[in-house]
Amino acid sequence: MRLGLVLSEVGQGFRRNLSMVISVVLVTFISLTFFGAAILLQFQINQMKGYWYDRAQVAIYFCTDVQTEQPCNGAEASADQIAAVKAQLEGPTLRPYVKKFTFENHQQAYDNFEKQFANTSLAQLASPDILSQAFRVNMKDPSQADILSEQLSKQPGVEEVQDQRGLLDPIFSIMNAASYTAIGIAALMLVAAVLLISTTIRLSAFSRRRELGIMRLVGASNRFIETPFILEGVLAALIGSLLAGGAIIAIVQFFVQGYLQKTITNTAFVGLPDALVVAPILLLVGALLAALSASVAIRRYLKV
Amino acid sequence: MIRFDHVTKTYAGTTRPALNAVDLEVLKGEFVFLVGASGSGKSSFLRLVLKEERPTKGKIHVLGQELNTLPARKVPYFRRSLGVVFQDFRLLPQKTVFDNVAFSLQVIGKSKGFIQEAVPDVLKMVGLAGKQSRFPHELSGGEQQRVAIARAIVNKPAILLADEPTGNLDPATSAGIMQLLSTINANGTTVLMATHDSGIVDQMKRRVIELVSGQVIRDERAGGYQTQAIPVQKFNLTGSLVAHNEAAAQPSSRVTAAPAPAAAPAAAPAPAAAPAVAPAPTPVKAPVHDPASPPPLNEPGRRA
Repeated sequence: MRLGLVLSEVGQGFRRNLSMVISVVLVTFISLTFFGAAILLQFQINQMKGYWYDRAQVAIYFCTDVQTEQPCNGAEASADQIAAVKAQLEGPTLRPYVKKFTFENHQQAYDNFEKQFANTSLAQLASPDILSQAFRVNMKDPSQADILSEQLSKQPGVEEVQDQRGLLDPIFSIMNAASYTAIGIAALMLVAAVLLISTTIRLSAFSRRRELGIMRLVGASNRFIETPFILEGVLAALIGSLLAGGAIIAIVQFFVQGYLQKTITNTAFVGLPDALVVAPILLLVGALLAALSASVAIRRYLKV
Repeated sequence: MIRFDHVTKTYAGTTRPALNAVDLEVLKGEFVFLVGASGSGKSSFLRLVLKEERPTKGKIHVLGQELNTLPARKVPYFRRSLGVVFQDFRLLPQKTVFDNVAFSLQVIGKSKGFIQEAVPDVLKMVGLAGKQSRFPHELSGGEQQRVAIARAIVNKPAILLADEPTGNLDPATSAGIMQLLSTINANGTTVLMATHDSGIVDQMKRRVIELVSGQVIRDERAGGYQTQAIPVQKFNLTGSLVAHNEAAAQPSSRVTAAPAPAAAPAAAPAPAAAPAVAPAPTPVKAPVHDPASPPPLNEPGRRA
């Protein structure tokens, strides 16, 4: 009985301000889509970090005779110097951090370089003797690369200790910026959504103020009076969040997996499971925001 | 039933109190008229009883509850034991007579079965049997007020508050409404009615409380609109005499001495003058008050 009454009031409210309800649906839809995209971007960044950081090595480059500046001064690193570095890598201080390391001589470096830059003019310019010999070190924990550079960069014959993670940072900072932008837009849109919901509820309450007055007079409980309004806001927002969740899933399924993953094959992208995590979050955020703003909006009509 | 202990109500932004140190008690089963000019505090009094306003000073007890300490969330439940009727009926125009009355039961969570039983009963009692499915605009003013009364009493409240219920009605219709209110009162409901209708007050010979500028200047049993027949409480009459005479100067079917200055001695509460203008010099009936109740009882010398 009571539930039926409440639901019929919600239906009436929807019919009465249909255009407002539609705008609430659209605004929550768009804002939550941005919000979901921001979350997905963060997922993507984490996933790429995990993927690339595991593969990222620390390279210890040795001097070549073409390097005329400090610290090489045009002197090729001697076999003793290389052996000293190797001893350090195997020594008690660094051993615990290093998973494995390989040595790359001039010829191997040249081969790798040719492979990497095949069909470019750069490959023709290179020759084995200008490419540095190097140790390629895989760390147990990639974030501890600083230890290597602290220990080894001042060793004689070492030209540079390079943490390859540094090469990835610009990519990640671009993605981070994109995700913050999405969050910023989402926040603005969510503020708009909250204001729109409370305006809608106020309008709805105003058009029903006679009923509200009588309800208060005959002693309807506050919960009974406010429930239809809160439900009205929540329902509108839920429709918007459902659309947003659907949009997020569709983006992941058809754009990320269906297009990006096929074009860029050497990177893992967020998949459907990630989208299925994000969608319920969107529903929850949408419903909570709507319930909150609606109950604040209706409070004025409940004052005793 | 209702007790006011030194109640003062000053609205924000005004210095003159709407009610000024009002002390009075209304007992179970009483029928009380609240008379006084517009702005004398009648409506404030009713709003205070309903806890639509809180008193600035003093304590109000209604139905065994101290209203000052009644928490806001309990106010709706408190109001379920009060019925209210207004001058402007306040019916819902898009609902039928039946639905208007049923609405007040629906919103406090009564079952469908109860509503199906209680509403026709109460409509029959107020004399609207057979008009269940009419809309308010199809009814006369008197019938609309009957619907409002039905709505107010369908939940069997202990107290019925009526704010000028006959204010919009012609004398014949008003008489019908008063008949109805008397019946309701006879069934055990305490009725508190604010009114300007001197004819009704004089005819009914019920307890009359007169307010002038927020002060009770007269409280008499079986009183008339303007007379001082049998006081329930005593007042500092010298202080309120002038104000009282202002009220007395208003046209009234009962007062024979027309000009205001001349009316002073006639309407003055001097014991000798009282019987001359009393609507009917009835001897005091057994007091409705139980002996333990606080309001000062009649002074023997004041009796006719």
